[in-house]
Amino acid sequence: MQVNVPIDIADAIQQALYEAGMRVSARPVPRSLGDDLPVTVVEALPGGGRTDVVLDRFAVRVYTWAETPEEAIAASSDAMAVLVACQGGTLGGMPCYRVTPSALPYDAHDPQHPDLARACFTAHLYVRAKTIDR
Amino acid sequence: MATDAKKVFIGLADQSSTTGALARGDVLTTIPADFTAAQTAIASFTMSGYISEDGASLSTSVSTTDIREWNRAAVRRLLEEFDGTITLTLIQLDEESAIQCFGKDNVTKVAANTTHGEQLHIKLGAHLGEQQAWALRMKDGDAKFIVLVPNGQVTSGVDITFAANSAINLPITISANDDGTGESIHIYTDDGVISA
Repeated sequence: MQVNVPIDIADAIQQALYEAGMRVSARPVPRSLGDDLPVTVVEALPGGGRTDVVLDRFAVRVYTWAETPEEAIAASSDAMAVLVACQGGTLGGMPCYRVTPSALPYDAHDPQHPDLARACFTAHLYVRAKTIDR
Repeated sequence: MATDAKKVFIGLADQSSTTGALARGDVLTTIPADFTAAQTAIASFTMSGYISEDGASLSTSVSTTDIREWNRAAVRRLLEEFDGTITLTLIQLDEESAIQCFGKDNVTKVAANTTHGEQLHIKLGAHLGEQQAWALRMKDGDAKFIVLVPNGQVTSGVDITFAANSAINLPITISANDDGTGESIHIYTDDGVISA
């Protein structure tokens, strides 16, 4: 039986950012982010859904920590540009049809890491589901 | 026929950093027999820039005349008219987009120099676009699609909005003429699944 499963969107975006030369970390966010900043974490948000047999719509939030708010915003903007450039290419090995930023990078203070600056943006993505045999 | 999700395709523009999805060239008198021949036929075409996120629409319409018997029941239907169009909106305003929209006889370019940038003069008037071949290129992963109009011309009027919160759009409608074989539009597909 063939089934269509959504890709792991957070993992796929992290992989794309990593391949673009950005430092990324998987969730949960580590207690210590280390000295090698900026670092980016991708969170899949509730919402989205399957809009067609093979078409999944995802909502994601992408956090970036840096030493200063300016560096955080700049790195977040870089991450957003990399993500938008995935449109027309692939994410997680599947065609990525559309990437629409829904909130541009903004300053988002992180109470868990008060000594660092954090910026984030949100986006919606349309990515093809993976067809597998079960 | 079995259901196969791999045969469900999404129409994504086949574009790159150097080529857009809409292409134009000289009218084709030899109609490509298959996808590979179509790719070859349009290889030298001039490509557009960006097309709006609304994508493109292919529409055909057929009108018929009914032949009815004495008691008014339809006994035969005759073809009266066929029309085929491709509509899309160009959002890149440069020489090629202007030529695609308004025709090459109506666009004049002055190259950039030390005192000014690239300049265009676009003339609007009572004239239709020239007859050309048009190709719309799409992809979905390894699958590729070409919608080919061997002989078409832009027949849309101009409806451009200049606003501070949106790109300047150039909406165009390409009307397909008979290509000499009794057809007007050809759709070629390649599902990208290679077999040994």
